[in-house]
Order: sequence, then C-alpha cells, then structure tokens
Amino acid sequence: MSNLDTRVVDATECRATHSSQPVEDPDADFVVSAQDGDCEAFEELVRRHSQLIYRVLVAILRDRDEAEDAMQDTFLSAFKYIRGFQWRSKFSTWLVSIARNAALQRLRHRKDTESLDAVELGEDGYFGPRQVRTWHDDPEQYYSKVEIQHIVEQGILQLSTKYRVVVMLRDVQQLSGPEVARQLGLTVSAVKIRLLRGRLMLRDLLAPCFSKNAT
Amino acid sequence: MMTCEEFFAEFGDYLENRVSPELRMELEQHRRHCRECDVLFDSTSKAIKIVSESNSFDLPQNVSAQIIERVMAKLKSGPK
Repeated sequence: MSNLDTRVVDATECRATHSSQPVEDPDADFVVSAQDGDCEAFEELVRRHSQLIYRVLVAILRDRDEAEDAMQDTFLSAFKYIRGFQWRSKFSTWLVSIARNAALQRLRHRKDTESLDAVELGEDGYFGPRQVRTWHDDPEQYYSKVEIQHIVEQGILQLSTKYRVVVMLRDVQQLSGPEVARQLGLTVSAVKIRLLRGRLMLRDLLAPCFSKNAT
Repeated sequence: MMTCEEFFAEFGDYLENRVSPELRMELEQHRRHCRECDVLFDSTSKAIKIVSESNSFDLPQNVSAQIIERVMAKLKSGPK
C-alpha cells in the first residue's frame, strides 16, 4: 500500500492533550490561539489553506461540488481535533492528511474502487511518452486563458489519482518537491517518479491541443 | 555522447533545473543531435509552464467565502 493511504490522522495526535514545542511553522501563532478556542484564529487558518485543501480534494475526488463539501468536513474535523495537534508536522501537512482521509471516506462511500485502488496501489510499470511533435511557443495565440484553463483541468482529471495529486500540488499549487512529499507522506524519490510520469502523461493528453499539428 | 536512455534517466532533474553545469552541457549536446529528445524536453517544459500558469482548479473567492462562513457558523453554534 502506498503512503497516500487511508489512515486516520495519527490517533495519538488526536487524543493527546499536551502540546510540545511548535516546529518552525508560519501558522504557529494562529494554531496556538485556535487550540485555546479562538475561532477567529482558526478562521485565519481556514483562509490561508482553503485553496490548498480544495486542490487536494479535487485531485482525489475529481468532483468540484464534492470537494467543497469535503472541504467543510475537513475544517470541522480540524477544529475538533486541533487541541491534540502536537507539532509532529507542519499544521498544513496535518490539515492535508485530514483532507485526504475525508476524501477517501467519500470514495469508499460512493464505492469508487477504481479511484481507491489508484490511490492505494504502489508504482506501476514504465511509462514512456508517445507524442513527439513540436509545440507552439505561445498557446494564447490559439486559445483564450479560460479555454487553456479548461483544457488543462480536463487533462489533469484524466490522470490516475496518484499522478493527479502530485501534479496538482507541484505544478498547479506550486509547492516544492520536498513539500509535496511532506504533504503526502511520500519519499522525495517517490514524488520525483510520480511527478515525471504524471507530467509526461499530461503532456501527451494536452498535445492534441498545443502541438503544432493540432491548431 | 550520452544515449537517449541516459538522457531520459536525467530528464526529471533536468526539467526541475536540478543538474550540475557539466551534466547540463551534456544534456544540451544530446538535444542538439537528437530531435526526439529535444522535442520531448521542449514540449514537456511548455506543458509544465502552461499548467503552472493556468490557474486550474482555482477556488473562486465567493465559493471560498461561503464555505468559510458555513464552517464558522457551525463552529460557533455547535458543541466544542
């Protein structure tokens, strides 16, 4: 089973009542206040991380409406358990793990075994790119920004889950490779492999729109 | 000169700009002599740029505000 799995956030973390020293985390002050029940501090944390959490949820669920509902569940769970958060990771990493669990529960509920398998299986065989046509230098000569966004979103949604999540966090959300690894509980080398395969697959999926023979 | 297989082994790091200057020179030399690898690098770089600049799956401000409002309303009304 991959590390992008279904474990509920570390149970000891949820139950613990004593926090240790915060790790270096830009959210630290707000987390400490939220742990004392300060709703405004928690609201700031929600604002800071809503885009990240939304993209993680869309990447797993492939459904914007369901991602919005799961986002609400994620933040409600986070508030419920925040007093037990013990700084073993950055707050955002902890939040992403709650979001992943919320999404996986929904996949199970809808009996989406294909997506569940894709999330939980290990690496598969070698993937080699298939398209070798040159691409246009400026796609905006051929498509509007809205069209490009639509084409890219459709392409990303066609990737299998383990590639989709990594491409979403690295290339769309623009986290660093090590940060993606931390957020997903993967090794940096596993992220590198998934990222390269995901990028090559996405390139093949986008080629019909952006290669020179296409327009 | 490096083979296509050797080029592909370094491809991920090359895309991420994480190769030494010496290795970069070798990779670029290979690209000058191999059209397929040159197109592969150029098109994959362009795909990454398109994806990065696409604002894909942007959470609209109004949707974000509604979700935050719902979450905070539940937190303030529900049991702690």
